[in-house]
Amino acid sequence: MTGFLTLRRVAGLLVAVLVVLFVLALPFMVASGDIFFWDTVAVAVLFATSTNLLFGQAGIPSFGQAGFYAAGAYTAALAAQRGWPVLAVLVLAIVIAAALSAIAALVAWRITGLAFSMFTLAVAQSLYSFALKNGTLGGYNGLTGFSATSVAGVDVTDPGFLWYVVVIIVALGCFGFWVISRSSFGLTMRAIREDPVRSLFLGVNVRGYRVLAFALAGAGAGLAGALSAYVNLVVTPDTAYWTASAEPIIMLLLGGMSFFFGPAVGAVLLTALMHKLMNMTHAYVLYVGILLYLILLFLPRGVLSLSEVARAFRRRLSGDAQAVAAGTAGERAADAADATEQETSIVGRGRTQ
Amino acid sequence: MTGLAMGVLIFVVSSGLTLVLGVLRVANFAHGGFFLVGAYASYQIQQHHAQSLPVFIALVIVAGLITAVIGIATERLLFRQLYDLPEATMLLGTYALLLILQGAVQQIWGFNQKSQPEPKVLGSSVHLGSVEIPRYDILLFVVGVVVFLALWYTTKRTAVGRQISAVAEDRYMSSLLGIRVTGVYAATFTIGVFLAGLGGALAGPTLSMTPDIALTYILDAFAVVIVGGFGSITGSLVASLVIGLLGSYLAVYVPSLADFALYMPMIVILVLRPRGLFGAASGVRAAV
Repeated sequence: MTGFLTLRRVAGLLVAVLVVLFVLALPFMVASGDIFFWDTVAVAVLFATSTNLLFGQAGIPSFGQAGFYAAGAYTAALAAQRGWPVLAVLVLAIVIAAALSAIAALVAWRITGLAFSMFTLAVAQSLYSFALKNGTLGGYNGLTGFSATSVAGVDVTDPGFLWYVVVIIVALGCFGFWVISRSSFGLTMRAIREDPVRSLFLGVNVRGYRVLAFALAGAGAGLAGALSAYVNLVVTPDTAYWTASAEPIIMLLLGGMSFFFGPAVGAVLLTALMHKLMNMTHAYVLYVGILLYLILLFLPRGVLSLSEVARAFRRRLSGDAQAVAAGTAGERAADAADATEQETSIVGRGRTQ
Repeated sequence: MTGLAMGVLIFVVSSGLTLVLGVLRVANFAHGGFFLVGAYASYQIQQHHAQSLPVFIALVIVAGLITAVIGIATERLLFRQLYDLPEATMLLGTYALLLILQGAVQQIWGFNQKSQPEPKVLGSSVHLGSVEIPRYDILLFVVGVVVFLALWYTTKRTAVGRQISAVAEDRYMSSLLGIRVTGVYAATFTIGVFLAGLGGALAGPTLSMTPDIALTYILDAFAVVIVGGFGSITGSLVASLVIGLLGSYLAVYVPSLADFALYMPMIVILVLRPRGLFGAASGVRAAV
């Protein structure tokens, strides 16, 4: 496995080409109503990828990302109603959502673990109540009466063009998170996750890094929320409800939080699954619950780890004990080499943080 | 509904949650699901039979027991598998169970609002001077006192209770001393689920039932447990009453802030005193 053209890279390149072709061809393949569905998939990809900065990298178990998603959505709706251009609206939504999450993280300066999960849940629920009770935010009905007509001079009233714009922005957002995960900042975050005390002794400003990570994830959630406003043409308080915060978490678990593209894969799978389930039954949460339970228990590293699981299973079937030992050792070495693929993750950690 | 009665109702639900949290060290989202099961079980077995007080109370207890049986089955089949997993995974596992329970209730009873009237004898109010107190609130108040005393007696004065306290304190040492930790877990979980079901059965007449009450009540219960302190029954009682009274006070005088009666105490306590008002220092650790 030496040289530039490893099997892994070729496969990755092939998948990337297929994804790009799919994105380009989609408006010509499906009815314009179905493009809406794929818009929501793209938004979910960004939301899940941003949330994974917390779960998969920084080890911050936030249960309130929907609050910042909704903050971005409401900001976008309010600004768009006032005739702001789309790109300015998106930037404003990012700034507002990032500022809100930075404030929340600063208030929670000393809190970690389960208490932090509960804190973020309470913050998001406060935002939900605020949106529900506030007249200028439209109360229960939320905000409507805005749309994206043109982006940087390009007319996007056609759903196909809106799809291209959404995908480009989602891709840029995800690229941003990829750069973060590959940077020294990402490395430091993973060091903090693995051992906060040792990182502190090494001179890392642990709490500062956590606040920054939380603000960056909030910025991503805000951008996803703003895009969702343009896609749905309505923003309701439900986007901030605490069960909405669980969705990106289920997505990143489903895809595999230790892989950078795990949350994206999980977002596609879960959105498609929910779409199908909702058409078949109203009680779809039953099946989402069963899925989440099975994933946690039997596939804790997500569907992207299936190839490794299958490989280990095949080896066990062949009964060659030496090959098993050598294989796991080799896998460990490969995992250690790949910075984005950490064996342990937030879910793989004990309760002492 | 008065704030005090509301507080008592939240106490019944949250006391079970705090017990499970203190012993099993897991924030059990599924508790809301069992609350829901209790409410619908009570709705199912009562129909309009419960017109006298003893029958109503008996049926409420039966609903709690039905929930407890479902809880035991859940613990054996699904929950037990989660014990060895890390905290965050367990939290999401209990969320999965909440979704499963809520989805099952949706599947069985549908989404339409169900109303379950209180028995006729409890329908009116008692006049105490100029104050008017609904009879149902008085019943809730009595139940709250009984639950508190029963829990206090069980945890402090019985052998099972001492084992529960020991496991809550140090599960490893307890296992070395010959306590069957898994058995204690199961017992605690059963008591907790019974209380959730009892709370659900009692809450039925006070609200219009939809499967979504699982989601709202579990937040109430979490808020109480955080404010009161993980594992503290007394803390649960105090926090329930504070949150219930604050909620009804704000609902009357500052309606726009009524919902924040739940979240503001939660946030303030988490920031200033993460272990809660009555929590032991080991409940939630604020490391680094």
